[in-house]
Amino acid sequence: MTLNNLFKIFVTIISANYLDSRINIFMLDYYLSFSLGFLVFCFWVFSLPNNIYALTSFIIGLSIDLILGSPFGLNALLFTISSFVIHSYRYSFRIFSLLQITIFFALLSSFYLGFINIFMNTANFSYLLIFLSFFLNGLAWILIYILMNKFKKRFYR
Amino acid sequence: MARIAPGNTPKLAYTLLLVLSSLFLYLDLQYKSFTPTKNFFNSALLSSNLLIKNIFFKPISNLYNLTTSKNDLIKLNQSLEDALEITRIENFLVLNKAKLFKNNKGLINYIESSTITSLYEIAAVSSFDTNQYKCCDSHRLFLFNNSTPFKEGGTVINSEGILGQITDSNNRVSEVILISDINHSMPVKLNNFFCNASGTGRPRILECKYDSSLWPESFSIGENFYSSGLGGVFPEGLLIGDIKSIRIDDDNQTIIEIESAANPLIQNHVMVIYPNDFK
Repeated sequence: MTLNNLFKIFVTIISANYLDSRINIFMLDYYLSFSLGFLVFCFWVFSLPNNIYALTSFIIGLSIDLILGSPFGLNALLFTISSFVIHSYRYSFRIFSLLQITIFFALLSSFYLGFINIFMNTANFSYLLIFLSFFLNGLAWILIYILMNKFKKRFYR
Repeated sequence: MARIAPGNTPKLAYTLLLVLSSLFLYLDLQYKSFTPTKNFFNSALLSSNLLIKNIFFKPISNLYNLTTSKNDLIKLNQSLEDALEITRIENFLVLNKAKLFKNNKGLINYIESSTITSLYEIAAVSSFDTNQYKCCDSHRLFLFNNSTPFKEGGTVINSEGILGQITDSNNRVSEVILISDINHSMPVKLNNFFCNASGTGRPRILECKYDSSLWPESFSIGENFYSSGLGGVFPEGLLIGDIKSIRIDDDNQTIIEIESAANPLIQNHVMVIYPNDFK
């Protein structure tokens, strides 16, 4: 993968993270939380399984930790685990329907949110937030899947 | 049947990086090893943000304002807004003078040994992650330093009351831990009842936990809690907030939820006061 493409991937993830932080301020009152940055990362691993492996996931995660100010290594750990899980199922995705793929990534984002909340919001951990966000992130995945595919066709070389 | 791990997934690399990231996480949570790196990055980010704004965006917006002949009015409005914010904070200081300047032997000793000379300083908020404030346990605020960095332990107030205290400073910015942060605790009082109000990680909410068999006190919703001054950081007798709810937990301990009077979201300017303000 070229540096230019890596930069494009990184910019999309950072932009989605920024969008996350803007939207989630209002959503948290209703026990909802987007994880758009994570879903965009998942999209790239899902659509470019031969280009994004462990080290790329680790570096992207570490950069996000630095930018967001979250505990150092948290996103790196979760991104690396997620990358491994997606790689493990990459051949299975070929026979999955869009609904099955959506459920898979909604579950993965719930796992991500749950883990983030365990570390960053231990005292006020909410199962309701994780549960409701499963549906929200499922819907978000469909949107990301469509938009990012268009982005990939146009900008990714 | 789904394959668990295809042959060409580099398991060794994944394992190594998982161990490495876990190690990073452990070091950061346990020993805060990466805090200087994060602060340096934050500081660099803020400086570059400011530079880009001043060099690129401000001239463009000024150009637009000139064409619409509103530039002067906008500037005047901005300066008036800033002045109003500062006056509000200073009013708070004047109104609470009797409490803020209360004599305290322990604190006087501290003041005499202190090298800090300024009475108070007005500071501008450089960044505040509102998303983290609403979602997570960690409630931190960053201030632009004035000519010198703010000293650790300085009390940060706005026009409504106490926000928190300075925990860390570098050349450009200072970090403030808010009183609602999960790791923050401060001594408070209500008449003859004293307790440590700990941050809950929820916006503006503090919690006081005590054994009701040892303190047979009765409280009602809406009663005001004040700082007790026993910690030596916050002045005595300042309004912290009022009782929002009272409940009994599984260990038969009474938990009083206090809603802080000060909202960190209302102003872009705050005031930092030091223990030698009590003189």
